[in-house]
Amino acid sequence: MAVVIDLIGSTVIAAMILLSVFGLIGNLNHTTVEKTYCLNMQTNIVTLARIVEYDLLKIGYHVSKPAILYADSTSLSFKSDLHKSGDSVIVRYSLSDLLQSTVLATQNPRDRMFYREETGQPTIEANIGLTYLKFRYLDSLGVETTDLNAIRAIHVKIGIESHDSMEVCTETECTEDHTSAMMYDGSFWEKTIYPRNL
Amino acid sequence: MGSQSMVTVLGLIVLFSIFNNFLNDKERLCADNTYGYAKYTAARDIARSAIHLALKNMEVDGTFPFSGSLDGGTYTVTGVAIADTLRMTSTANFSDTVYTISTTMWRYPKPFPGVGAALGLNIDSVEFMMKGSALIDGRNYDSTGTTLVGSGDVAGVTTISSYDSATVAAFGSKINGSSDVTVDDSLADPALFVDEYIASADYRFDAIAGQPQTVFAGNQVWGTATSPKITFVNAGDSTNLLKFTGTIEGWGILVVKGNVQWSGTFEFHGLVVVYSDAVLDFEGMAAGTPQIIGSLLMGGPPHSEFEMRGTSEILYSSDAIDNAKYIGKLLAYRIVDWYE
Repeated sequence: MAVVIDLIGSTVIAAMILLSVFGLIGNLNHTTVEKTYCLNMQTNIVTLARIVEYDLLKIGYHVSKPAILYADSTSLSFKSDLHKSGDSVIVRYSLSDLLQSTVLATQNPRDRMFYREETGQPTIEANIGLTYLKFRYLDSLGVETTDLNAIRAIHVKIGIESHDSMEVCTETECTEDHTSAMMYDGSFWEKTIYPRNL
Repeated sequence: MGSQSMVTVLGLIVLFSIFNNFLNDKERLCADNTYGYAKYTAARDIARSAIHLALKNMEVDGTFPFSGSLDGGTYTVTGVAIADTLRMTSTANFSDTVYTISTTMWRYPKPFPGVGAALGLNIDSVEFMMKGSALIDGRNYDSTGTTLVGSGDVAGVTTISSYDSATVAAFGSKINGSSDVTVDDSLADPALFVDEYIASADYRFDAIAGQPQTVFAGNQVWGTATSPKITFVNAGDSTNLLKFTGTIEGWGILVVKGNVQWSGTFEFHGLVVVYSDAVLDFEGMAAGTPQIIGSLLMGGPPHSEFEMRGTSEILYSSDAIDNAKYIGKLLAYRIVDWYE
């Protein structure tokens, strides 16, 4: 009888330990996914920030005026001898709308495609979870302007979120389209860039 | 049973190690991302600061390459200055990150008056006197004052009124140039910029207050052709005399106030600005011909006195004036292009 009780007791304890281990592994897995999203998002925003800085600092280099061809809050087009090769190129930044097919395939309802077009180069179509992009244009006194010839500085603000959510709702709480009660890892970067050739 | 437990424990250890390593790896990559961007911005800031430091160094000697350490990184600025154009490349290193900026700048003097004559007198009713074998020559000499260029000659003296030109014309036998005297009522007024020259002076000589005569003995060098300087000789009011007894050679801008006497060899290349009453006295020199090669501009209240004595000469030289324009402290820079 004592042996049977020992067997039952050890089985129960083993089952509890196994459950704890599985729970721990589940949590570790969740943390790993979170870390991966965070890393991807951070890599994306740093890469995008460096591309934007690299390009915008060269606006107007060795080209005739006007150097900025088009400017609004989410798109920008400018001229530059971007690669110091003696050739003037036109660079254009723009965003897709929210219904673009690639971004529709992601869980995040706010992300958009980022496009970078450059004369003679393949267009970069980046699906990096861009949820916010805003350009503001400042004149020599730091006052916002829409006059392309008066622009002396460009304030850029970028927001990126993970494609997929860290689900924080229970199955019953989540809405059918999974848009509420979702959490996305996100990060912002902003900077005022002063292209010296303007 | 014991061996099974051992295997289970070892298996869990391996599993947790794998998870731990994976998480640590993500942490490291995150840190690398952040630190990589920080290194990039640090290197960029150093490269930009190095440009500013190199421009500041232009005031001292303006030699390239110019290098140093800043904010935990290093920088080297290479460059070349030709006339009014300055090209520089700044390379900064921070940790393993390198950042390079290339720029071309237009440099120009601020402020720098045009005289348009060997001697410009911005004085109403000037008391003008030339004694001995003094000479004012508006023909264009090279910057050493030894060779005539053959072009670019100007008038010997410019005044701001016909009345004053008549006063000066009385000494026409001691004046050469495209004409002896011209009238230009827009002649630059030294009062507008002399304060900046004085504030930027590299060398300054002041008469001792209350003493009728202050003597500076010994030879002096006030700048060179490759590194022109600003010198301020301040004799104070007309009751003082400032006297230099040694050999003096200077390049750049010389600001003179009051009665100054040179009794040694004197040779100045560039722009001489005289304000208030002044007597430039070269009398009593043992040998040689005291020369101002470039141009002299004088301003002051009505009836200010300008007098040249002895064997002194003012020889116009556009080269010497151009040289004086590029005194580092007086240069302003404008970006022509900038690549980073």
